[in-house]
Amino acid sequence: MKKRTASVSKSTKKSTAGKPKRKSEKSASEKPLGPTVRTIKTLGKVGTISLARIRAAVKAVAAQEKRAFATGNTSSES
Amino acid sequence: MKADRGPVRVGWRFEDSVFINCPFDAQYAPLFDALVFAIHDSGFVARCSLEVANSAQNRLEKIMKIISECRFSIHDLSRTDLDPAHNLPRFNMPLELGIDLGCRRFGHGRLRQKTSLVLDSEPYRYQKFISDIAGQDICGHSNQVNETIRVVRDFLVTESERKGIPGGSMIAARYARCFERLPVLCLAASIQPSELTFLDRVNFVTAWLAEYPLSSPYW
Repeated sequence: MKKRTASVSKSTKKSTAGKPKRKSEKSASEKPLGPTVRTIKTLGKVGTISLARIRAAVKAVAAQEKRAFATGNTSSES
Repeated sequence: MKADRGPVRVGWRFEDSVFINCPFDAQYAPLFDALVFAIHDSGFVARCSLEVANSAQNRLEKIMKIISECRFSIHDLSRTDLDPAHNLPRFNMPLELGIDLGCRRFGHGRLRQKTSLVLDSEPYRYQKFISDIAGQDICGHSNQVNETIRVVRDFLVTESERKGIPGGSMIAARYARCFERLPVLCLAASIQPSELTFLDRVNFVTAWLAEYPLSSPYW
């Protein structure tokens, strides 16, 4: 069976000059390293507490710790 | 799922998913937390049967579905002791290991890429109760959190060939820091640590990891 191949004639090809690059056309230096970079990932499923409440709690405790760190009181008990 | 989770990427992909097959009892809880933390701090997603609350779905179906969605699996056979109440061993973990090995052997496509880590309390103890898997690499964790984190981290780095994953001792130090703060975090979220479900613990871990990246001087 003859293979079907998609062909585009030169006259119908659109010029890409001056257009912003698509994501896939970024140069190697612009591209993120993809799977080699460690990104924190989560399933995104909600348990018994909302994600917003968890994040707010973590942020509140972190802010408290940062303040303690800045004032020189690095005791973790707060 | 497009929830705003800050620097955390939400969702799962086959190549990021790690199935955990381990005991869910209180005695094992620190090792379970260590597994979950090491997986997420290495940039992967921890999956286990506790993530599905739908009691209408058959438990085994649920487990098989998750196994088929995970490229990596961690099976801990350290609790094969006799149950004092019935004087019988629990076979759930060896059964799930068998399903996972069968999935890789008889599955098609991406399922052939599946890799497993088998853990036990001592490296050669399994030969006494499940000698058919003698060809597998079994790692002993001596029931120690730091050792568990190290073997899980090394397994994920080796099998995924990813870069940028912190060393085992670094992850262990971060784990200790995160779980030391868990009671305070729970207080801020108005919940008792004992009331946290698997998904709650995972969400606390990922929120903490996002707030305290490796580069942060505060963790």
